[in-house]
Amino acid sequence: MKSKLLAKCIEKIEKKISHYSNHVDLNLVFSSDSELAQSVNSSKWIKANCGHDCCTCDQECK
Amino acid sequence: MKINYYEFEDFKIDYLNKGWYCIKSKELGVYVYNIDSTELAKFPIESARIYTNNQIYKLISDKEVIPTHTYNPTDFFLSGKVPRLMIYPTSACNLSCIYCHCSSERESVHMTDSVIFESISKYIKFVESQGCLSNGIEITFMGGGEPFLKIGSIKKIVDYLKNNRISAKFSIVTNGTLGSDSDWLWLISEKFRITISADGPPHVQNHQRPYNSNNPTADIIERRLHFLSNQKVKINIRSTVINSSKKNIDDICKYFRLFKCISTHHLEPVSFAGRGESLSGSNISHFYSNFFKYYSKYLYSNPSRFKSSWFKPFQKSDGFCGAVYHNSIVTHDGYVTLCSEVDSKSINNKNINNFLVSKIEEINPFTSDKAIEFSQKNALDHLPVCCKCIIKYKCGGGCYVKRARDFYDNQLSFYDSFCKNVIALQISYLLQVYEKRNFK
Repeated sequence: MKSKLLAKCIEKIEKKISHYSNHVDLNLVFSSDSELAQSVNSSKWIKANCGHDCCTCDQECK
Repeated sequence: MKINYYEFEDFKIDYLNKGWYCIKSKELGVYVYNIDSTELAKFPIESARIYTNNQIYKLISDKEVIPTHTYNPTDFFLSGKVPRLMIYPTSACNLSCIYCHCSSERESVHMTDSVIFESISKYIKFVESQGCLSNGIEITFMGGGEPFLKIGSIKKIVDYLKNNRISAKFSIVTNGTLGSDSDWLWLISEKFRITISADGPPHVQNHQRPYNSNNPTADIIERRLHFLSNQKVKINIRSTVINSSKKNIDDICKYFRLFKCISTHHLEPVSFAGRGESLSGSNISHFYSNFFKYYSKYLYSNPSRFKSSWFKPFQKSDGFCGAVYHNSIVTHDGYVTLCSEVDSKSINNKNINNFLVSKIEEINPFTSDKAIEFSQKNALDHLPVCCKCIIKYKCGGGCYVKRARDFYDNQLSFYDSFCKNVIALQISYLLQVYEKRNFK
């Protein structure tokens, strides 16, 4: 009985949050890694591994 | 832009579902991050505190996730790229660095000319078979030992390629103590990319990197760096750190600013292998944690100068380094190895002899089954600790040789020393770049 009540409570909360999510602007501002890299002028870091040994390499992929 | 390093304990990172993570930072707030689309967002402070992870996931689960491209070895080869050839012209060295992972000595063996030219011709055939010889080839000379001991052979290789009209770019990784000024002018005239392994101010350099005779090397390194500065060339410095105190890392980073020729400076923590094994203390995780904490200031504030193979905050890649990109490294005695820290001395070390993938006399030494197998076995999805790690694509799985050799494949110990510090290093940076971006 207790667990049924608990489940109902959770369902209610979830519904409320779901409703909140649908109708209230959460104002989540998503930024991708690529956008963040550009904001610090590091977009060259996005490119592929150069395929070299990383310990001594001076390439720009890191 | 000032960015702080936060300790691993400052974050609570939970996997939610379908590539979504929740990051709760004591200092910065609550964020969600998707590793497939690489998107980050901050929750409003007042609401985030009351949500459970399930509730947070529900709130963002409707968001469309468009995965960005993940670089991986298969794409690398399909796009016609090839790893560059790395040659160890010798296993001998004129220095006795106290941490040398390959325990090089003065009276060791050189690569013979026949192995050198067999390596070059087979590599050219390999590049040709990939259809990209017209793009030219790249060769790095390093060790193993000190490549400058065989500068004559290096000059022969450059001449050979010129005579055969094969366009080539060259790099050298050297200890900087050998060669006449005219040798160094020749490197410059042939447009070599130069990396000098040097560890810091004189007291550090002389302690860590003495000559075989135990005489100091700081003077010759300073003279070399002044010479190169006068030639207006740009070089890379590679420093090995055995003391990760704040003062020591500050000293190392500041000292090399004295020389105008240095455009990039790469610090790495010592490998506890070879002669370096004796430096391993009781608190290794403390050593690594201090290294990343105190070096982060430099990586964050000047990432175009300061480098680390562990700091790639915006990269999305399946693979840490060239070891899974079929590195073409030929040791002085003709073994093909995937890692510059594994030479033929390791053949009996069962933890790392899988890095030795072929011998140069084989028909196709650079496309061996063992290299392909290594790449597949070390793909992120096959590394249990990495599978659900928030930075798995930024780290690419971490250093394969350190995990296998220095930590005997003990995942927990590797995690404690490297992974959690690298997570803190990358996540601290990412969240703060996000914050600064939004304040613009």
